[in-house]
Amino acid sequence: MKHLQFFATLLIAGTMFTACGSEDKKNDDPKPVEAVTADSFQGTFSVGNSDGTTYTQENVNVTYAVTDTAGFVLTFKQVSFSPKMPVKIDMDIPNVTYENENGKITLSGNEIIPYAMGGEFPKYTITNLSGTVNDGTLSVSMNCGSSPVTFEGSKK
Amino acid sequence: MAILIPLLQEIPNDTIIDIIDTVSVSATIKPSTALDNQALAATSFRLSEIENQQINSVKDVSVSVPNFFQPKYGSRITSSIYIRGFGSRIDQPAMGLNIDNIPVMNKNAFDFDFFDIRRIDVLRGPQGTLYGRNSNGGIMNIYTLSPLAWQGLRVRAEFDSEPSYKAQVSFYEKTKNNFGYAVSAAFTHHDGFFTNIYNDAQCDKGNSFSARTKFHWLPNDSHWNLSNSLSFNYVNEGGYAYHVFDDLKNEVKAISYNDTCNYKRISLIDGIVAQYSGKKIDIASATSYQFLHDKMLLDNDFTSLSYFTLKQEQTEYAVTQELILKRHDKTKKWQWNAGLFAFTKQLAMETPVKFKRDGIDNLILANANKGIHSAFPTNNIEIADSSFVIDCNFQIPTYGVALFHESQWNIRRWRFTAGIRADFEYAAMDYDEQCDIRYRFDLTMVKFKQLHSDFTGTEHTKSFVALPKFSVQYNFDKGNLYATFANGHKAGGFNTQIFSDIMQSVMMTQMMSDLGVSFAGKSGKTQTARDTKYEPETNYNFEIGGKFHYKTFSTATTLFWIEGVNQQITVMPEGSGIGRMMSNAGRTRSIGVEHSSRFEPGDWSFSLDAGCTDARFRDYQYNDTTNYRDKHVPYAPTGTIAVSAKYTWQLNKQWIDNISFVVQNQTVGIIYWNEDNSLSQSPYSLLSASVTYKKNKVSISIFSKNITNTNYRTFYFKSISRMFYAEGIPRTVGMKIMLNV
Repeated sequence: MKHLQFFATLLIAGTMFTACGSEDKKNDDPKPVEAVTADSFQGTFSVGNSDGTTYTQENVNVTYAVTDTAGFVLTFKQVSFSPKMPVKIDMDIPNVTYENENGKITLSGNEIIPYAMGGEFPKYTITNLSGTVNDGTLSVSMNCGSSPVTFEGSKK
Repeated sequence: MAILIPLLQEIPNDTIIDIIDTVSVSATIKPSTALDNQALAATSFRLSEIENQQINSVKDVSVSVPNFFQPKYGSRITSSIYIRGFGSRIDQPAMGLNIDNIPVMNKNAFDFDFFDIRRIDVLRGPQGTLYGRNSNGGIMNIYTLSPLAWQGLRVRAEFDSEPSYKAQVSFYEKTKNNFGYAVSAAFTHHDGFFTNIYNDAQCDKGNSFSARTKFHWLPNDSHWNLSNSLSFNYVNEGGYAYHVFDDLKNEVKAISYNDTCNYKRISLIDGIVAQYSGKKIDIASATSYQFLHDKMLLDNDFTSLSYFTLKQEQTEYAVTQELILKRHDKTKKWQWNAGLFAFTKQLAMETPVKFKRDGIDNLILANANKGIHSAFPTNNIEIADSSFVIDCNFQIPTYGVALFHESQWNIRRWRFTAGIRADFEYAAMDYDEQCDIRYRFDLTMVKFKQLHSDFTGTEHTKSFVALPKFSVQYNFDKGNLYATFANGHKAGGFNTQIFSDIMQSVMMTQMMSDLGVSFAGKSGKTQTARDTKYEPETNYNFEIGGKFHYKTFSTATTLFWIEGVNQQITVMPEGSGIGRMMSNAGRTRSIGVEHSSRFEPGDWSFSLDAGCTDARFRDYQYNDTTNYRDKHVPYAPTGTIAVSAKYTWQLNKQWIDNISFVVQNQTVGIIYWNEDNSLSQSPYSLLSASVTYKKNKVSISIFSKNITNTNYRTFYFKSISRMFYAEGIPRTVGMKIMLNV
């Protein structure tokens, strides 16, 4: 009977230790970092015109994805850069530099030739790209060719 | 003989046809009242008339029947029938065709070589109650010669200035027990009338071969009448003699196209007709198996440029079954018949469209780059391939079943008829289209990229129509007066011919999607597979008429008013400059009058068959701004007149029995070529004549058609912003030798 009581005490103690250990570990670990893989956002795409006005498109979809071949790729879906532009295009901006700090991703890039309409599109070379992905929002500003462009959107 | 003798006794002379100096049995399984004694308008041709008037195909019956017009153009796949102002260029015909009581289920087989045709009956106006689908304009019943009606050897040799050559051999024999069999074969060669200057060759030359076996058995000791007719037809010919029309210069240019146009067909129809004559009820059954395989090659732009070509190859199997019950005792006041008709058709079709360089540049890339240039004026989409193929494959099974009933009450001089048919039809279409091209956008893409496009799916359509008929007829000693209301319908179907247009649209959409481009503010309807369906067309016919005969004079006049709803109209697909499709676009009304007279005093014979039709759209909303209301229905002539005179000079000499002279003039009224009636063919007349020498069993004819060499047009269409005309057949002179041993 004593053996049984001893064994039960050990078992309970062990259980408590394990429980305390789990709680301790949870409290001690740093905030988990979500892997930077892919995400989608929807928001406002704005292009500054040379006359000082701004051309705005709502509900523009933007995705990012980390790929083996082109690194961090930022994709703007069906955007146009002027109300007079008769087509809307998909534009991929590859090899964007990114840093992940406690879940906040900081984006930067310069002199990036985007892909659009099936190939490289030097006319819209990206300069001064900066942006963040934080708390479910994506903010990007850049020059696309000669046009200053911003995007503000939230996770879909 | 049990069934033969009553028929010979009871059926008036006009359905017991004299053929080659003997009589034949009446072969119709439908109500056997003489056509002259029915409340409808009809025209009949006997074997002697068919052969004397050089009627060699269904198209040769055109105009000889009031308000019936079937122009010759294209090839033998083209069976555009217009009757009483109704008809359509493609798909379902406005008139049904029965051969020996078997309905021909595919109109591609309508144009076949006539030989040993014993009788042709053309019933005008909707005949839906008894004949069902595709009889909304009328029905043509063709009866071939029975070996129980005539026995011996028939040989025909014919040639004309086209030049064309025809030869026919037939053997008819009756064995004991009233069993007869016949074996016939015919061959025709055409050198063609029209030259394609691109290759300096006749474009409409060709050959055809036909064979038929027929068995007919009237068992001595039974009430049965059994027959089997097996027809085979092979055609291999050119055609499509289409001239470009320069409307600015009002000039018809020479035929000049660079790709092959050809039509090949093998068709086979086997029909078994069994009739049983009972004490109270007569039963008739008609069963058929039909096979058709044909292949049409088209230079679809009909120019010397390399736009695109089309191959349409189809194989169709059909089985039909009709069962009719009729009251046996024809002396009773109440006569009735009831029937069941069922069919299935299994159609497999391939229609690959091959786009060649000019077509790629001017049709596809020009359209695509028009959008691209709005954003990138100096850049282009390019396609590397010198040609590519849009593969289109279809499987189209169709099933139909119908029940019908017709009752007649004969009360003294009055006859009242009421009938109804319930017709159900179901069709499905599996479509599978594939296309591969290599393309690039020259601003961004250094290399060409493979693009695969496909478009597959299934569509279904079903329809149920009720087709009533009412008539009242007053008979007097020398004729009758009648009034009829009858219903007819043309089956619905699928516009398989516009799938290449759909596929082009799919391909461009997928290319733009592949490029990540969309055009801002792009509007306009894109055709989908669902849009390819079209519904049945229904006609409501109101008709009054009268028939009168006195000795050798007979006359018949009919006034009709037809209301057509959901009319099937051939239109150009929206947003397309090419192709054509069937659309239930309009409501139409057609009013007209028809008259036929025959007079045979002594050795003379005169006939007049005339029709006048005013067929106009009640409503046809072509687009947002255009309605063709009150415009004439295109392609159907406003009238037809056929006048003929025959004189037989009985010489009865040692070297000659008689010599006969036949003169016939056929006039066709105005034909409007388009819906806005801006283009038309003026009325024209074709004069023909023949002289036939006859001695015993030999006859020799010399004939000429279109003696005045009248220039006229038989067809018009527009494609790729060009107008095309088909010209009528010029004067021909020929000789025919016939031997009946």
